[in-house]
Amino acid sequence: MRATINSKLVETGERERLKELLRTRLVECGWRDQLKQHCKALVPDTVKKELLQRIRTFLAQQS
Amino acid sequence: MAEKRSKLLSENNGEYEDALEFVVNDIIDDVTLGLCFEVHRSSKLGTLFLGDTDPQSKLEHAMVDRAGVDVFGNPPAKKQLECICPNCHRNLAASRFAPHLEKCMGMGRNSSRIASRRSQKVLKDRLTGDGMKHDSGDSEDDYNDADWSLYADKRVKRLKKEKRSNSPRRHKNSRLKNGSGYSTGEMYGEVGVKQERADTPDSIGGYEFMTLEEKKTLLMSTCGVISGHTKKMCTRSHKCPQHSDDQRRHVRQFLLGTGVGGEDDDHVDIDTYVDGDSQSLRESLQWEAASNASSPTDSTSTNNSNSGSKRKHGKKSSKKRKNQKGHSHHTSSMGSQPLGMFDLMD
Repeated sequence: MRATINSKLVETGERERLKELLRTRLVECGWRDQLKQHCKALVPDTVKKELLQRIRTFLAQQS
Repeated sequence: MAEKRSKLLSENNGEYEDALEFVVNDIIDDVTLGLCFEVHRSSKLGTLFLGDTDPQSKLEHAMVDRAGVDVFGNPPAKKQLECICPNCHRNLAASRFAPHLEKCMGMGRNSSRIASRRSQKVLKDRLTGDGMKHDSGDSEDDYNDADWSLYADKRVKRLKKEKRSNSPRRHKNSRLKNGSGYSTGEMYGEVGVKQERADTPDSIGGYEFMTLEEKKTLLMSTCGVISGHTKKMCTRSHKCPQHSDDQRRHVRQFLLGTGVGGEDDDHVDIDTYVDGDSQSLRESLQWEAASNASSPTDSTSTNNSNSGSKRKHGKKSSKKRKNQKGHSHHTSSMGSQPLGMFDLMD
């Protein structure tokens, strides 16, 4: 049953349209930005520090 | 979140609803996955934290919205756009670039004109040789006037005729120079005759070879003033703006004989007044009178000098001649001659 509905949606291309619609709606309501910030927060401090270090040394080499 | 969704959907019953619910979830998962991919990629590339700025630099680089100043806070200042010419590799201002390129590459209208003028000048200088040393700058005017040429070179004349143009610039040049460059001393030199006009004599030579008839014809119908540098007669009408009536009278005196005398009244010698020329002189003077009558707007000085010369003839010539000339003058110059002249003639 599920499969038929799914395949029907895909065949007509309705699934893609639904996806695009969902994307625009989520951006409008800010869900996307919230999620991004959440992700960034999830990055632990240690990882951030290491990244900064790497970049500093790289710049020192360049100039 | 999933419970809320299922609560909404559970209003309607059946497997159908379950399936729908599944589809919805599926689509949402897809979108979420897409977002995760984007974030992961930006973190891998190092662009994840690019948008974050500390509050201090935010104030520094805030967008400027005042009047009279651009978004960065700079007053409007148009810096000069420089470009390098691909031909001559010079640094040029952008506004001057297009005309410079025309000249540099030799492809515009003006630049081809200048090039042809230069080549004509070179040709002409070679032709004139050592005989005539007029300054080369004036030779360009030759090609501008519709002239009787005293030069025989057909080939060169045809070439020049093709390249001649009537631009206002050229007329201005020739107008400036012709008024001042006129001189009788240089009129005869190595001279020839232009072939394009039907009534010019075919032989190479000066004015001496033109019969009196032809000279008179020319002078009656054209301005005839001989340009000082080119030794050519002007073929324009009597009212040609480049030459004054004084010049026209001068050239008629010169061509039709020297018997008419100089400018001052005291030195007129009756013996030099040749009979053969009287007819032609009368005709040329009739022309003068006609032009005077028809162009009353001429300057008073011109009128006075003309009347002066006529008065002179009336005084000093014999009675018979005087009467004849007086009559002819009377009839043709009623309009503009001063009354004093008539008194003297009687």
